[in-house]
Parts: sequence; C-alpha cells; structure tokens
Amino acid sequence: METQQSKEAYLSFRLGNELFAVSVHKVLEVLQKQVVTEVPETPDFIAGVINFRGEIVPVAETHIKFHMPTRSQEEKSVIVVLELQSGTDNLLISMTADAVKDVFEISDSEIKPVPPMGNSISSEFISGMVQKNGKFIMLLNIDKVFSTEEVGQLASSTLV
Amino acid sequence: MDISQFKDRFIAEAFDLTENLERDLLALETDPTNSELIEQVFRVMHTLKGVSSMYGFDKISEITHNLEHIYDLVRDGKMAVTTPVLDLTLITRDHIRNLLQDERFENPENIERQHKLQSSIDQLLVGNSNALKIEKPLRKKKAKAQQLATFNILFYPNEELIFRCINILATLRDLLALGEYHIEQPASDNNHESWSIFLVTSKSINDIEDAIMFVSDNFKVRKIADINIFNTKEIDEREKEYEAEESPAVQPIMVSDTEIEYSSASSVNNESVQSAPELNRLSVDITKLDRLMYLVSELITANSQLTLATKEKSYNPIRKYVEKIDNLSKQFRANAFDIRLVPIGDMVVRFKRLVRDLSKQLNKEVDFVTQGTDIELDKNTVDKLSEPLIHIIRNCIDHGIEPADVRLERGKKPVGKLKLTSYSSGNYVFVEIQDDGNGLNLEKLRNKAIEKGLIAADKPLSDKEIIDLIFVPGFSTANSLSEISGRGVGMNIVKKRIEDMRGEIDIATEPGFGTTFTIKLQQSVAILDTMLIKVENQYCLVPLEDIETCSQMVVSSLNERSFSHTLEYDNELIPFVDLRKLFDLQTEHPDKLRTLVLKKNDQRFAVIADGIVGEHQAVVKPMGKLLAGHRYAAGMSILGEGSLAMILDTNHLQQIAIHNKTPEYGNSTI
Repeated sequence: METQQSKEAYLSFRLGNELFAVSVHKVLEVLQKQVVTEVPETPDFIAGVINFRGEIVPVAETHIKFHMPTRSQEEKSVIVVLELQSGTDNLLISMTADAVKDVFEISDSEIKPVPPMGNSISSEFISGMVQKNGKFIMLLNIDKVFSTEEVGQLASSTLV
Repeated sequence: MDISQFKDRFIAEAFDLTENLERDLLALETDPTNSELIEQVFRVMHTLKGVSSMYGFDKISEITHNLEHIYDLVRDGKMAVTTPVLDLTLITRDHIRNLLQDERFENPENIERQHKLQSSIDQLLVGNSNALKIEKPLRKKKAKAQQLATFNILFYPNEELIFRCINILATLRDLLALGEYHIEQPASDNNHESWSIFLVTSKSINDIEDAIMFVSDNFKVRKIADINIFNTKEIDEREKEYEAEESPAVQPIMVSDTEIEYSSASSVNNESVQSAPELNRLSVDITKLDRLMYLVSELITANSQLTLATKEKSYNPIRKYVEKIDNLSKQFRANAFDIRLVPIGDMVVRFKRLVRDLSKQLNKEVDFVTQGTDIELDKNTVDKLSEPLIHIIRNCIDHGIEPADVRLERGKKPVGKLKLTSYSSGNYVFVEIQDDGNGLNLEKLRNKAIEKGLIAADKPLSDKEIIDLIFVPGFSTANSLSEISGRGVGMNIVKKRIEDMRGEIDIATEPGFGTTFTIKLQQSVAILDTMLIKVENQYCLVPLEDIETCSQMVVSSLNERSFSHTLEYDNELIPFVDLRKLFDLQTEHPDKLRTLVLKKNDQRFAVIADGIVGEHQAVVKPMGKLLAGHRYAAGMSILGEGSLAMILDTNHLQQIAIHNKTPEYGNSTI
C-alpha cells in the first residue's frame, strides 16, 4: 500500500541517443507536426511559438538548451507542452523531443542519485536516474530547467 | 457551509454600494435638501451597518451606525447637510473601503482613522444638538403612529444561494429597510451556520416575506411580539398591563415554530421596499465574459479557416452555408463584443470626487463638466484608462487652472472650468480633457528641456515637438514638487499606458487660455483588421488603420537610401524600418520590395517587406507571460492554415524607425 502511494508516473522521451523523462503531472499534451512560428529577438534556445488551445506558447529547442548536437532536419520531432510553476504563476512552455517513448510508473526507491556528469547537461536539471530495460533514463527537474530566473530572462531579454 | 464565500461577495457588494454612495453624496452636495438622496444615503448606512456586523466587520458597523444617526437627524430636519457633514461622510466612505480590505482591523492607519472619525462624528453631533434644538421634525414618524411588532428571522445560508447567484445583500438590504433591527452573531450548530435577526417594524409579515421572496427557503420568519421588545420601557408598561389584567406575563422571545403567524393584511404600504433601479442591468462575473470572448475568437478563427479551405470550386454546393455561417459569426462577434462595452460615465464619478478634493486642497474653485459620458468602451480599456485620466486631471487642476485672484486679473471667471468630453468616430473613441487655465508655456518647456539636457540648446523644434517634450521621461516643469503632481514621471507614464491600449494621446494648448488633452482609443481591441505581409518565410500583421499607402520599390533604390535611412514619399523624407534587417534574416533582398507607408502619432514612416498577402481579420492573442515584453510584437494571431503571425506594434516600430535602432545582432540572450 505504501509503495503504491509513492509511485509516480513519468513520460519518457528520446533526445539524440539519450532518454529523459518528466513527471506526467507537468505534461499537458504531446503534439506532433506542429507549425512553429519563429519570433525574432528571442533567446537562442527558443525555436518560436505555437498556438496551443488558443494561447501563445514558446517552444524551447531542447538540443540547444542541453547543449546537445543539433539534430538533422529530416528527423521527426514532437513537442511536449508543459505547465510550470513559476512563483505563484503557472506558465506554459513547450519543448522539442525526438520521439516520445512511453509512460511508466516508478516508486521513489527505484530512483537513483545523479552521478557526476560530463559537460553537456547541467546536473541540476536532473533530479534522478532510473534504470528501465537495461537503459538509463534521466528524470528531468523541469521547473529547474526553465527556472524562474531563466523565465524572467526570457521575458526581459526581449525588452528594450 | 462556508461563510467565507458569502463574505467575499459581501465585500464586493459593499464596494459597489460605496461606489454609488460617492455618487449620491456628490449629487447631494449640489442639492443638499434633496430628500430622495438623503434617504438613499441613510439606506446605504443602514444596510452597511447591518450586514457588516453579520460578517464580523464590527468597525464598519460602528462607524456606519453613527453616520446613520446623523442622516436620520437630517431626514427629520434636525440637521442640515453641510460641507463638514459631506466631508466627513466622504472620508468615512473611503475609510469603509479600507476597512473592507483590513478585516482583522490591524492596519494602524485604519485604527487611527477610525478613532479620528469617531470623534469628528461625535463633535458634529454635539455641535448640532446645541445649534438646532427647536427645529420641528419635518418627517412624520410613520412608525410611531402604527403598531410595532417584533419578528425573529432566522437565516440559513447554503451553497445553493451561491450557485443561484442570488444577491443576498440586496435581500438583506430590503429586509433591514423595514425597520429597526438587531443581529445576533452567527450561531454554529451541527455545521449549520445561521444568523438570527430581530426586526422591529410596523410592517406586516407579508412585507417581510416579499423582501425575502426569492430566498424564502433559507429564511424562517416568526412574529414574536406585538411590541418592540428592545424598548424596555414599553415592555415594562405591557407587563404592568398584564399584571393589572392578572394574566400571566408572557415571555415574548420564547416562541416555538408552531406559532408562526401569517398575517393576511395586504401590503399596501410597500414604498419603503426599494425597487432596484438597475433592474434591466445584469452583473456578470468577468471570467464568464472572458470565457465567452475566448469562444467568440475561436469561432472567428475557425470561420476564417473554413472560408479559406472552401475556396475551391468543388465546394460550390456548400458555399452558401459557409457564407451564412460567416455572416452569423460576424454578427455574433459584434454582439458579444458589445456586451463588454461599458459607458465612460461609470468612471466619471471617481473623477468628480477627485476634482472636488483636489480643488479644495489647492484652494481653487473648479467646475467639472462632463459630456458624452454614455459613450461606450471595452471594460478593460475603461479600467486601464482611469489611471492616466486621473493623472491628466491632476495636472490640469494643479498646473493648468490658476488661483481665483490670478484668474480675475486675467479677466477670466474666478471659477475654473474642467471639461471631460467623449465622442466616437468609426471604431474610435475620443476622450478629451480640457481646462481653461494657463496653457503650456512653450518657451519654459523648451528651456527646461535644455536645462535637463534632454535636447540640444540650438535644436530647432516645432511647437508640437516642444509640447511632446512633456512625455519624455524625467521631464517636469512644476516649480515646486507638490503632492499632487510634478514628480516628473507622470506624463511619460500616461503616454505609455495609453499606448499599451493601442491608443494615442495628443495635446493642444493655447497659452493663457488653456490646454486640451485628446486621447484616441479603439472601441474594442481584441479583434483587429490587419494587412498580412511577408518577409522571406515570416508573416506579420500590420493594423490596417495605420496604413496610408502601399507601394513597390526596387532594391537598388533602397541601397541608395541606406545612408540617410529615409525614403522619399510625397515630397518629404520619412524614416523606415527594413523588416528583413529587423528580423535579422541573413538572406538577400528580392529584386522588388513592398513599401507600406504608415501614419502614427501624426508622423509618417515606412515598413519594407517582401510582399503583401492581403487583408486579414486578426484575433489578437497576447504574447503569453514568457514573451510579454517583446520589443515590437504586440501579440500574435492565428492564420487560416493554423500557423501564427506576429502583430507589429506600430508605436514601437515607429520609434525604431526614427531612432534607426536596428537590433544588435546576437545579443538577444544577454
């Protein structure tokens, strides 16, 4: 019963050769074949904006954000729409992924601590690791990835 | 049952009530013997007193109790509506609004003011009783003549009341207006909150039931005595009578439910049950309206997508239905937007108060005239407009209108005139504020700007350019830094606020005779008629109303112009923005370019794009919290095929054109 309660559902997705996962509570929708409209004068990692349920939602280019090699144009990509907590506000942001894998449940005890990582991805973005079918999945601390400061930066960088 | 829901509603309604109170008080100032207004003010005090105590706002109850007493004396002709009385009532009204936000009565300012007001009211009452002792009551005490009875009314609020959107305050107001009352604090038993109200009235039980007609399920009314049980003298007399008759003394309050009396006397005298004047108005939660607007805009978007998708010949059989839907959705849009429009007059009351207070404070007499207050604007716009208007009015009274002696010297009437006029033209609404004071001293403005280093000393400026200097940040001409205006940030903020609403502000002045501020606004801002233009693969929208002409030019002539950064148009040189450069696109210009000549703030500038696609009805979507501060995107709009286009902010684009501020490339992430 107790282990049942502490189980949490995650959505896993692939970026290049790596697997990541975010808590399903943060995910609003996974979109495919979305037209992304470019907006000038936005930070590098913002690919543009999409129309999501009538709201304008920025699209973060995950490869750039995580300093990963840029994927080839032909590769299909999906957009994961997320709802973040920023202070008292809820913010909508979306991020690109190469493919969505599946939704799985894990309990806290299965989550392993984050080992010291190489230079590509900041380890504070990762809240833990899980091993599934022999593969490691990095659990993203999505509120940190798009932290308040950065969200603020996103807005202020476009100010005069 | 959670009482806090009622409490929130009470607070909202009390705010409304005090809003109307202010209007009535100001009207009373010009017509101090208007018995209808006096009655109205009395009633508000009466209601606030009762209901605020129900929700635990004891301090409001205390202070309104005293004011109620004053207006009761006024009603009876024992006191006159003098300026001190009105001043005090107005201050108390503001105080009540503060108290509504300070439920626990913790703010030291409120505590102090409560104390001060209390003693001022006491003084007023003492002074009055000394001065006016012999006056005869004008009003016949109707209650005296008739037989008083005491009713006990139990009120059980439940969630259903909230679901049904019942205005419980209005009900209580009607109920309490029937007579004197005592309210017991909410009793809580078995999770059922209830209030017990003792009402002493000459009215019949029918009148009480009329008052609670729509919520009778939540009320229990019992007649408990044929006398005023709170008048102990009367009870004593009764008891003596009873004793004389040797009948057992009754315990008036202890009555069981079975003794509910249904009086059959018809209610002829129900004039005191106030008929709501806004019966043909419906107040709706703003979020519901927002939801409606959202659906309307989605419908418009879907409709334009449908229209685009069915352009081919093969759709001919259904074309007429598509057109019908198109037509209907446009009507629906117009209608829905109309709901959001509120008359400007709604905020004018606030200005009357402001003018009154300011002119007193500055010792100037000002006559505030309004015209065209029935002109309607979008609710949001009206809300946002109030702050800049307040600032302009302050400026007019503080700097514009001269003191009475100066005015007399100049051959003007001693009383200054401030006029607020609004009128509409097409999709635009104009709000004009005009004073008959000093006017702007252009020479002084110019010198000040030079002194502050805002302009070069030898820079030639037109009159209009000099006037526009007051919109520059940090510019203030007030010789002394008064409390009212002159912090030097004012007009700059005013301009910004108005531009945020996609409006414009213009100043005209005649030295010695006054200044006129004209604000031009769109009646509704959520849907724009725009021109869709294209730069490489980027689409953007330019508001149609700003476009003067569209023309073509060849790229070589643009290159010739890159040095002076101006284009020749209609025998003048105008600044331009090259969107390709602005968007930091690396590709070469096509051979032929499109030029849009725009006019904003009475100045022309040009926008250079690759091509013009056509007109587009744009539903304006805000940029979202993350991108809200964008330099020149006022919002986005969904295009027919589902992609988005940026709506260009022509005000900022013009600034970019004038200052030739092309963005510094690659710098955007700092």
